Order: sequence, then structure tokens, then C-alpha cells
Amino acid sequence: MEIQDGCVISPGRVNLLGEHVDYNEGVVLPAAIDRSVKIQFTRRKDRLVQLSALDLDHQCTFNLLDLDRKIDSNGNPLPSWALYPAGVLWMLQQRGYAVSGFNASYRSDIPIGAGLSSSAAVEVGFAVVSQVLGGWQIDRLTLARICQAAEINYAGVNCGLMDQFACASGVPDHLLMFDTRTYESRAIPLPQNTTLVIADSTIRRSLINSAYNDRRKDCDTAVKYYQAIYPEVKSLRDLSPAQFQAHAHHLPDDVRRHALHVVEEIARVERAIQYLDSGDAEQFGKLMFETHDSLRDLFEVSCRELDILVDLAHGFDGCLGARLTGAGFGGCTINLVRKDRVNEFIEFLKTAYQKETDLQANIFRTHPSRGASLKSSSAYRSAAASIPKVYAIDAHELSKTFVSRHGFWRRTSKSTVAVDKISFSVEKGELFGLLGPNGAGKTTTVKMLSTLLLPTSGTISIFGRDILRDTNEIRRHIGFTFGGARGLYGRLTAVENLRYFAELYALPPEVTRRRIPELLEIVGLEGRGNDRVETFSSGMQQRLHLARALLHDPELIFLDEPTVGIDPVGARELRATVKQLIGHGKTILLTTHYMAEADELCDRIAIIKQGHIIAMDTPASLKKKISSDSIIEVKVEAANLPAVQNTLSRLGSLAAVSYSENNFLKGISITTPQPGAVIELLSPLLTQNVIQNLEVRNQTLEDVYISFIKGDIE
Amino acid sequence: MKSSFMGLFTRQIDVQLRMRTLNLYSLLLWFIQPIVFSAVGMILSNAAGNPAPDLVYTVIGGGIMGMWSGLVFTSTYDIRSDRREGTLEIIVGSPTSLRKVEAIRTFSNVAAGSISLIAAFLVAVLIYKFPLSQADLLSAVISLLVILFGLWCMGVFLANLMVWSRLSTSIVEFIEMPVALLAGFMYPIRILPAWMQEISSIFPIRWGLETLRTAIQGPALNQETLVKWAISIGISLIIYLLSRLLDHKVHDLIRVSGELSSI
Repeated sequence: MEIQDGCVISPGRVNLLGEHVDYNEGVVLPAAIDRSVKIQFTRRKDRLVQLSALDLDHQCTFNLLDLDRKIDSNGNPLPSWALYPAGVLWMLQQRGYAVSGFNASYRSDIPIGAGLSSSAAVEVGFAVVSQVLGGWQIDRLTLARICQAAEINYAGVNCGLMDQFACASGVPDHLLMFDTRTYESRAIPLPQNTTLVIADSTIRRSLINSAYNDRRKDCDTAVKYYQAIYPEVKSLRDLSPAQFQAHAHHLPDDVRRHALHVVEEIARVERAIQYLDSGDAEQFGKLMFETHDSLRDLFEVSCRELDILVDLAHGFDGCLGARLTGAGFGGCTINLVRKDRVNEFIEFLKTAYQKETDLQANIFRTHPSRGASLKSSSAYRSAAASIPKVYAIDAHELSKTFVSRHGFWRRTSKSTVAVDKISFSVEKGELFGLLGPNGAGKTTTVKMLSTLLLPTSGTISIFGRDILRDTNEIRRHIGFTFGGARGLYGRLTAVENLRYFAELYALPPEVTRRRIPELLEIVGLEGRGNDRVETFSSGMQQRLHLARALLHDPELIFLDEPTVGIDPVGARELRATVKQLIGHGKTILLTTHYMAEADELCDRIAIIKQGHIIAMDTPASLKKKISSDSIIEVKVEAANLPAVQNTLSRLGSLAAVSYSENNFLKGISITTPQPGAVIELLSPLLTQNVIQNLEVRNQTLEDVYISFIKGDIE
Repeated sequence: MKSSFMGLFTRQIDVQLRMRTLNLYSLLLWFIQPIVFSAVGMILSNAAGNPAPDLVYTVIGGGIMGMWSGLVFTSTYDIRSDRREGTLEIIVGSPTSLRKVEAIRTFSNVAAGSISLIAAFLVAVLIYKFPLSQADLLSAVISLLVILFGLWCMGVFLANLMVWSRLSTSIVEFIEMPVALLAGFMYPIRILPAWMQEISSIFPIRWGLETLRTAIQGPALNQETLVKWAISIGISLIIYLLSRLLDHKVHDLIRVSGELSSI
């Protein structure tokens, strides 16, 4: 059965130990992380591939037959960002795999250029897309090697195999021991009671233009030198530190230092594996610090900011190990931190780093995750054609009318239609957003779907079960949270609350004991489990709500305005948790007022107004419904408004202009298909300071939402 | 995920004790209030020069008054508080039935209410030298259990009423004193008018109270006591069955009205 469309999630990776040894046939210890590239694709009948990089807001179309020439469908050179997916398709064709045309849009939450293998994630993701569409089988090692070959031969980056292998083969909660000589691998559990924290220095490197290729040449030079002494040496892997030191004095100083790092690092990884196998996190952490010292002093790929991050981490009690990760020259550090100190560590590192550098580091915890995989595909439906399709949620003609009665002697009643005959379905593994103004019927809908309210009419089936007939069974498979601080016992601690609710879901005691610390870690509340909930901030309470909803490991989770009242950092952490849940195959229905949040998270969105669904589609398709015009936002002082209006009158039908008042300035919003022409017209006014500010932007989901709610589009 | 009743039972009792019982308000209800009731009754009784049997009404009445008030307030407060804290929705939305949660909580409240009776007896015995030497302890304990069962059934019924509607609060608060008066907590039922005695007979506590008072004063294990225990248990069971019959209806109604989280 041919798969026609779907979504592939391809993770980034972080390397814990074994840096710059992958191209010297050493053993490495990476892990796939819970930051990923998400690729939505649809098969095409022709040989074209249309790519849309949503984060970059760039598109590119090329013909599979023209891949050798690295040109797009207009004959122009492929943009650099497209070389990675195109290279993979090219290499697959070279190796004889069937590659079909497709449309794909993708976005990523892996920081670019930070040493977390955003490029490898793209490559592996598109290899999996091609595999799914081509219907052929391939093992993950071969797939990784094809991606590596594509990056070297097509994108021109002399990379090792580790990145692609980790992105393709990640195992949840495990590091991957990967021998780059024999290609043997095995998963090793992350030490107990530890968490990985990534600190992005925000210093960016350029891999191709950096000294990376020089380091590789130095290693090759050293190998050639030692081959004259030890003919059996094929790579630096074959040299012990003692053998290396015995003859190193004849090497050029740079080559000696760089190669020494590799030889010692290979030996370090061997010790590290022993420590990991025996669960000795402290000794493993010490090796991470040693690696950083070596990368700084010998291999010379660190920078001031990375050194500061590692030094700060070294001084923090609870950080077991830290080092730069990735190629170096900027990017991130990876830190192994005790679970109970993670929050304090992150706060400490952020504050101290900013004090030292005036830079704001992006610091986040991460979990070893699964390698690239197909998340959902309509083909699964057609493959099981004889079986009725089972949606996670299937609501049909759903209505809810509330009746309120007043008066004692003369009873009067008033009916309010909260939800009016709405129908929609949510597939398993989908993140579905419900947007709408206050009172639109979002919460009523969620409460009906979560069994808390009985519908006035219509039907709801959850995983194929009828909500009226199988209420109790459905409750075992769903979890829900409602925005705000209510829903917890303030005088109990977080752990006591979770224990109580675990009993309501009849979790066995041993499961409860295991789940509670796990969930507190997932929601970032480790170390606060024994504090009373009444001492928690709104954000912490909201995260505890999420932990409560996840206690019984539900397949379907309803999140009703989960980030309401939470500060931006807390909201971002909660969104990261939501992404993790989707990565673990959960289905989520989310309601929110924050359009950026919906745009970032949701696979599909329904806009609800006065109890009716007025629009339902993917965020990208919804945006297309309000044209691809650009919006130019202009700010002018009131006195200058007539002059600007006069100029704008010359635009005629080229633009739609609307005015607003914003404190002391007048706001002008110009929607136009030709922003260049408008800017050219307005630029004299800008130089004469008649215009205070001018900003060009694309249509956002918020524009779409407002247009639908105001009734501008149907 | 099959429900373990003992796990649920112990966790509910634990939370109930931490959340509701071990606070100043509950302690006042269960401990101070019966002491005040008993003390005032004893002072008045002594001042009037009444013989010991009259003190039985004061002692037991004070204790039972504390138990009853505690039950009425906690059973209603529990649900009201869950409604206010937003936890009622979570309980209703879980696979465990609300009825089971209510039953365990009410048991906890009734058991905690025994503090009232103990406190009242302590005041009577230690301060006012109330004699217990003649008491039929076996009959007294059985009577107490019969009373506790009656209180538990009424508590479950009241909790159900509270879930149904926010307005039930006023009804429940309204019945506290009338029930105490009609069931003859602090005086003999026989002094009430005949029609009021008829009404009082529908309260299971009334029958258990009568046998408890008799047992405190001397041997009570006779046919009359057995009949009264049977009547009390029978009425309690009827109230419980009524509660069960209304159960589904009530729980459906709250899912229709959407008042689970309304304050």
C-alpha cells in the first residue's frame, strides 16, 4: 500500500563524549534529543520536489532529474539550505533507491549552528521521507551513511558519521555507544538521577568556513607520520597515548596537539563506557570536564564563551560534568546534572553567564529520544481499509445548550447555546488546536470530549468508544488540564497531590512510586515535590497540572489554555514538554489564545466562534487563505499623517490601507502584494523623518485568526 | 487499571485528615463545640439540682451534637471546597466513581466525629464526676456503632445532594439544628408533641441514641433495644439505598448543568 502523505520527526543530537574522534574511527557517545525537525510531506505524481523551509520562510522547487546539476526548477543554483535535503535525494538515487517527487514543508526547533546537528536531522528526516514514499526497507546504519555521504559530496562538508547515526538510531533515555570503525552500536542508559542540560552560548560558528577541515587534515597528517613507524596503524584509533607520545616530538606542534587530543579522547571514551556500565555518573562527569580541557588546550576548538559556561558549571555543586559539544568554535555545552538540582543549575548558569558575557544563553534540559520516525500517515488508514477508521476524537454534530432557571414562584428559564453542531476528527498522534475568543465554546467542547459535560445532542467517540456508553473506559485513556491555578490541593505537597490522583486512576503503588519522580522531572519540578502546592507559582502549578494529567500515561490529553498566566520562560518550557509528548505518540487537543503557540505546536487548527467551527486546516493552509500579501506597518506622528496619506493615495488598488492609533503615534497598516513598490514610494518620507518606523512582515496566524473572527474571510 | 479499594481508602483518609480534619475549624467543631455543649448542659443541670439520669442527655447529647454538626459541615464543606478548588471536576473525570470517594470521605468524617463524643464524656466524667460504673458497655458500643452507621448513611446522602447543586449548601445548613432538635439529641423525645415524635422516628440516630442512653445507665441488652437497633439500621439502609438510587441521576444532572466547577 503506497503511502501518500505523513509527517516525519527527525531529532537533533548531542554528543556526550568522543569529540572529533568519529572521523578517526573512534567510539562516540551521542544521544538523539527531544529537539527535532518536523517534516510534513505529500507525494507528487511528477519528479518535482517542492520544499518549504518554514523557519527560514524560503521555498525551493527542483527536479529529481536535475540533482546532479544542483539547480532548481528555474535553472538557478540551489540555495545552500536546500543542499542538505537535495543531497540526500541525490545520494539515494545514486545508490539505486527509488525516490519519488513530493511537496514538503518543515520546521525545526533545533538551534541552528549550535552543534546540535540540525543539518543531520534534516538529512535523516528527508531520507526517512523518501523511504516512506519509496516503500523500500533500509537499516538505520546504511541510511545514516547515505546521509553522511550526501553531506560530504553534495553539501561539501567533511563530516563524520556520528551525527547522522545518532539522529537515525536514537533510543529514548539512552546514550548510543557507536564504534565508527566497526559500526557496532549499543544503547547505554543515561546514569540514574541525572539529567542533560544544553547551554547554547549563542555564539555561532560556520562549520564549512571554520578550522574543522584543517583539524581533519592534521589528523590525516599524523596518521601518515605514524604509519611510517607502525605500519599497522590505519587511523589514530590504532595508537595508544604512550605510543603516540613516544614519537610525537617530530610532528609539527599544531599537528601534535590536535592529534594528541584525538588519541587521548579515544582512550577516555573507553573508560567512560566502563563508568556508564557501572552507573558511575560522577566519574563519567569528570571525563566530560577532561574532554573540555583537551578541546580547549589541545584541539583548540573552544572559545571564551564556551569556556566560561564550562567553568561556571564546574563550580556548581550538582553539575557532574560539562563540556563543549559539537565541532566547537561556539555553539553549546552539554552538562550532566543531578536531577534534584536542575532548576537551580539552569537559573545559576543563565544569571552567571549573562554577568560574565552580557549574553543571554539559551539553556534547556533535554532527554535522550527516539531516532527519526514516521509520525502519522493517511496510508495507515487506507492500509486498514476493511477496518472502520478509528480516530482519537470523532465528534459529530456536537451541541451543548445550557439552561438556567430563575425565580421561585414564577420560574423562568434561559437557554444559551454554547456549542452548535460542530463536527471534527483528530487523528492519533495529532496535535489539534482549538482557537477562539472567550465564550466561543472551546472549554465547553473540551469538557464534553473529556466526559465532564453531557452533550445536548450529537455524538462523540474517543478511540472508537462512545462517550455516553463507555464513559469509564474512556476516562482511563484520557488526561486533561484546565488553565489557571485551580485543580490541586494547595495544602498538600506536589507528591501528595500526585499520589492522591494516582489512586483515583487506580495506579498500582509501584507504578505510582516510579511515575511521580519521572513526571516531576518531565515538567521541571524535580526537587520541589515535597513543597506545598500553595507555595508554587502559577507556572509551577500549571506544570503540576500537566504531571497530574499524565499520571496514568493517557493516550489522549486535553490541554485547555495550558500557558495562560505563565511567564514567557515557563510557557516555553511547557511547550517543550508538549512537543515531547507528541514525540512519544500522544494525541493532544490544545486550546489557546496565543497564536504563536498554536502556530508552533499544532498540526491542525479549528477556529471556533459563537459555538461554530468557522475554519479548520493546517496553520500553513490557513495562512494561504488570506493571500500571500505582505504587511507593511508604518508609524507616524499625527502631524505627519496627512503627508503620508497623500503619498499612499498614489498606490491606488496596489494596497489596502488601514489606520490605528497607538499612544502618540498613528499606525498605518498596508497590505500589498508588492511591498517593494510601496517601500520605494515611502522611502523619501522615511529619510525625511516623516515616518518614524517602518516594518515589513508576512501574514501570521494571528492575522488569519483576526480575519476569520472579524468575518473578513469565510 | 483495576481499582484497589484499600489503596483508595487509605489515600482518601490520609488526604481527608490532612486537608480537612487537622485544621482549627474542624477541631473546634469536633472538640470544643461538644465540650461547650456538655459543659453548659451540666452546669444548667447541676444548678437545677437534677439527679444523674438527666445528665445522660447532656453528656451524650453534647457529644452527638458535635458529631452531627461536624458531619453536616464537613460533608458539605468537602464538596463545596472541591468545587471551589476545581478538584471536583478531576474526581468526576477519573475512572473512580464519585460515590466511592464520597463514601470514604464520609466514613472519615464520621470516625473523626467520634472525637466529639469522647470529648463530651471526658468532660462529664473528669470534671463533673459522671458515674459510668452501671453502664452496659457492650450495648453502649453496639449502640454507638449503630449511630455511626446512621450518621454515615445520612452523610453520604447529604454529600450527594451537595454535588447536585450549589444551592444545596443552604438546604444542608438549614437542616442542622432542626434534625438535632427533632432527633432529641439533648432531651427525651417523649417531651415533644406527638406529631413531632412521629417525624423524629425517621431519623436513624434517634433510635441509636435511645439505646445508648439506656446502656449508659445500666443493663440494656433486651428485646426493646434489639428492635430499636433494627429500626435504626433499617432506616439507615433505606437512606443509603435512596442515595444510591439518586446517584446516577444526580451525577448525570451535574454533567448536564455544568456546575462542577462553578463556585
